Amino acid sequence: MDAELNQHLDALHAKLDYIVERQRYTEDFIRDMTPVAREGMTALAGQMAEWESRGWFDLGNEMLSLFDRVANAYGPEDVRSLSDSAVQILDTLRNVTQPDVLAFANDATDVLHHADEVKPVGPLGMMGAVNDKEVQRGLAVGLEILRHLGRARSAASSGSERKPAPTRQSSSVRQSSSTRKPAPAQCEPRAAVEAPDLSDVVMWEGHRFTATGFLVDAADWTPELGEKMAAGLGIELTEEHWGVVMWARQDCLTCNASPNVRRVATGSGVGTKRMYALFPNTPGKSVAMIAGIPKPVGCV
Amino acid sequence: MSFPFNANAPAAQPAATTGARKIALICAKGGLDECFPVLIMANAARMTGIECSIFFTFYGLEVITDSRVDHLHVNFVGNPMSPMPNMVAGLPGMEALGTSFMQKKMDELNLPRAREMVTMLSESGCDLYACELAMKMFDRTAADLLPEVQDIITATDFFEKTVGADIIFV
Repeated sequence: MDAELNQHLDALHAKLDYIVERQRYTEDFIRDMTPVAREGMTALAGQMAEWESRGWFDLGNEMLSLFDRVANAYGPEDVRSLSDSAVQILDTLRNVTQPDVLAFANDATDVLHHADEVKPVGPLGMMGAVNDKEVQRGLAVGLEILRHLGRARSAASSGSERKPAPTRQSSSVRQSSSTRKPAPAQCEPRAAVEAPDLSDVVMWEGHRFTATGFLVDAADWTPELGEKMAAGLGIELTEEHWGVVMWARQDCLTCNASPNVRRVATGSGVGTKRMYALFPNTPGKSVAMIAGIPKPVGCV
Repeated sequence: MSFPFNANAPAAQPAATTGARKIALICAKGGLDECFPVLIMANAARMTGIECSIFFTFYGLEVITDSRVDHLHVNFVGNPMSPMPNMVAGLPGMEALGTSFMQKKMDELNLPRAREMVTMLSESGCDLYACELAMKMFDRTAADLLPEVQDIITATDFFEKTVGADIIFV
């Protein structure tokens, strides 16, 4: 019985020894760590005091109240949808904060700062400015942004309202009046008269004609020659014909340019319709040919 | 020896074709720069002894509409040959400005205005037709048209009237 008791006491002693040993270690640890911990606490307190002085806690409080307000203003669904688009928001934020974008924004604010020095631009100035390469590039970018804006807008608006097509009123009948211009008194502005092509000169009745049948030298012309030429064209010259032919010849000698149909018709006063009746098919050429003047140029 | 030239014969025609040379122009646009080629070419054709008829359809009707013929404009937008950028050409007033420049240039060259051109063509024997369908589309009546217009016909009628002609769409 004693032996058993002794055995128990020994075991207890050993355990106590172990505990005392551990206690000593702990005390040693505490003794060693106390200054360190004190140091750390002081540092932490100091740090917190500094945060306090910087207003971080105030900020934190404000942030909390901000969250509170957000929570009040927005329902849970709003917040959920916000969190759904968080990635998009962050993407946008990242894109916006790219160095080149920031540099651009900085440049833009620079321009705003110097806005007083910019001169006002009118429509003509705008036309001039558009010639500038940089402005052109800027316009292209602006237009691209506008396009995206429009696309986003049309995507956002679900139903487009339809406007009734404006009905066009038929214009009132106006009494048409003859607005023909008076006969041009002065010579028409024309390119310098080219020398006739003399490579294929044809002789007829002792006079030189170009390959297309116009008298080379207007001075060779006589009324008799004109009559013969008209007969060759199948035209019997009446008083009216002569009036037109002589007007054309006179006009050509005055202006040094062969008149064409419109000029002859208005100048001589016979009118276009009568011109085509007197000199069928090709009135301009026929008149010039009979009048012994060069082939008329132009197409009116 | 008889006079060896023939000024009043119609312009030479290919041997294969028979009869007088004919052209049929279709004017479908009403811009100053778009309708004038038609009018000038038709006039030149008549002066060369070629039979000519013009079919005015869609905006070409503007050229033969009494209230519109004196207000034909030039459109610089969407025209790659335009002297000004599209962006500018689309601004208000630019069309009128461009038109006045072109009209001035045409006046300097002593070109007749569109109204006189139509009168000239009619008097020279060019047949002017208005498109029946376009007339309905634009709510026009015969009273709105210039008196020079010969008739209001359908496209089918036009093709029947211009048998043997070269068709030119402008």
